[in-house]
Amino acid sequence: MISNQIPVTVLTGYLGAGKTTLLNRLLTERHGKRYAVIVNEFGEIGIDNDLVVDVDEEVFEMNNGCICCTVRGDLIRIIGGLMKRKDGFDAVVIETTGLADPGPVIQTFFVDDEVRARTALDAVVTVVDAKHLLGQLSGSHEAVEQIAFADVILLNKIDLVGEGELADVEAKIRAINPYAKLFRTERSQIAIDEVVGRGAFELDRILSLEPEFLSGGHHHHHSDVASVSLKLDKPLDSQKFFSWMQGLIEVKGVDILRMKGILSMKDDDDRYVIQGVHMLIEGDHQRPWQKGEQRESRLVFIGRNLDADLLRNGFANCVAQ
Amino acid sequence: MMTRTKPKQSFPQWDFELDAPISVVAFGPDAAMFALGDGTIRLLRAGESKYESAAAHSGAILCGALDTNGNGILTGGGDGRLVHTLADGQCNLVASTGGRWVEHVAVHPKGALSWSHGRTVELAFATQESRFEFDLTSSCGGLAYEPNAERLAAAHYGGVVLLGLEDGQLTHDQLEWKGSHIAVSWSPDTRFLVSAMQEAALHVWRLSDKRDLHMAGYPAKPRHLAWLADGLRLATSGGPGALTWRFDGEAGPEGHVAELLGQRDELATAIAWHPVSPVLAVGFRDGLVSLVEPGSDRAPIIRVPDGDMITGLAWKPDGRVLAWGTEKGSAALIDLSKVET
Repeated sequence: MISNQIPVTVLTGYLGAGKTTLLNRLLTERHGKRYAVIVNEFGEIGIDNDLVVDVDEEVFEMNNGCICCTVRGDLIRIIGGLMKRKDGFDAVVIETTGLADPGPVIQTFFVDDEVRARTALDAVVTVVDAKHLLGQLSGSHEAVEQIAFADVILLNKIDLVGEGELADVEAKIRAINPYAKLFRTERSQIAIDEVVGRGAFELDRILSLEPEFLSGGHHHHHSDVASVSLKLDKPLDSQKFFSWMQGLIEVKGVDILRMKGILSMKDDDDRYVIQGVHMLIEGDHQRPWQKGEQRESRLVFIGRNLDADLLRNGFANCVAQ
Repeated sequence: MMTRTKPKQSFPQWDFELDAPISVVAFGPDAAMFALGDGTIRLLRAGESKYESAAAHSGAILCGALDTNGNGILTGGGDGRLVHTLADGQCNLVASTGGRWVEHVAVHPKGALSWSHGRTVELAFATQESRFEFDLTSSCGGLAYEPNAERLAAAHYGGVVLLGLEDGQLTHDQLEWKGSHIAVSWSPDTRFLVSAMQEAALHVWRLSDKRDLHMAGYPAKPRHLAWLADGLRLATSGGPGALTWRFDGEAGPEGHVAELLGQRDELATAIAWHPVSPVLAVGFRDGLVSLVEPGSDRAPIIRVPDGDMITGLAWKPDGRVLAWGTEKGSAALIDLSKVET
């Protein structure tokens, strides 16, 4: 929660979904902000701008004993290089290739100390093609992951499908990820500040969604990716919580795509925020609980083969005695 | 030799606010050369408050190395250019990559030159008219020439490649070690090759039999590697002070414990050995610079911390003047020739 960290938006989505259109708008519209944009298909952006950097995605396994810990080596280098510039920029936008698993990009912002010191992951934005998403979801692991990891989803090209089909597509998206903010768009038309620089605001919004509203109804769909939302109104024992979490990610880390939480710990007047991707977790004291604010703990998971009862019981055991 | 250092004020010092992040500090017999994030090279001299500025690049300078005779600097930039800047401020374009960042450059004392952009390493040999290109399996993390030959080590994800020339043909020899290698350096006696790793470790190959030695446990990446003039001791950044390893035995550092010099509760981010004496300048993330010496726990401070990270340190080849540069663009030359012995 250090304010001088530059926010980073990760832009994912299948080829042809509308990522490039959104990037071009980001670079040409008059919004008074300077964005450093890291792209992988240089030719697609028809703009000559020295803040646009072309990279080849290089996914590295970290040789650190963490089995699913992969990072984007190219991003570590490029962000280091961007920080040497005299003229700063307000935010970084990273475009991934259509078939990319967003995991390594996100993990880069957890793992590399130099990257973490200067930048903070702000949001994963996924652009999907309303006409082709259903086909992509049934045929591709990556399409499912891109939705599972998203904080913001642009359901794009809505002019090409009817309302009934649109509702179907939305239901499929919600079954995988009920927390992402979803916008229906044509030609990627969206206010830029809905996409870039969203900040911690997102966490509160996600966690304020009612668990009752979120659960139920998504047991029988084609994807094994689903979500679990947990809530406790009694303060937690921090030691119990961290030891449960540690054990959980050791066993289920590969399957946990994303995890977010706001926690109320016993004898602690600060809100404790936590987020994770696979086996990587980071947490921090965010701010004091405000007067009149409901002191409760909320935790959400998106992942594969999650056992909701097991998670609920494990979380409940963390309540302070 | 530095054991009775006088207070800092007694050394003549020249300060400069250069107003852009300092990427590289190099020191020739004539001028100290600072390569900056605004694309310029500033040529500073002890005793002179005025200086020359050369507009070498149109984007940030990402890497640099002293040229063969030390009177100029070769720099690579975010503008995709490799530029040779002389101490009088004159710039000459050496190569252009069509916009791809030139991230590493290495110079051999006998005239060979190499640079990299992405996965591609370009090599110019002193004895060959034509240039050579070699594509690594992943982006280049660092380049270093073998001290007495023209063999080039290129670090990348998965190991280091040794590139040489045989009968006019480029040869390559792969040294493998899992993980991402982000800097590389030869021991001056060429018995060992050392790499710094993304995983905050040091990897060493004994070249006679390609035996692996691995030193893990650094708190941060040991990005800067520097050999003492006698070649028997390696210093690295990335620790709470400078970590130095002895390389005098058959097995290099194996069986030795690293000596931590200038220990503080802060990360060392830059290091530079004095050209002759066993004295090491250490710069820290919080801006402090101190002078340390193996076998001694004294660490006289020559720059007080101000929160501005030291990004480069270099000694004048005669060892009389030290230069430093910071992330925010603060530069200084300090004349240490009057240090009592």
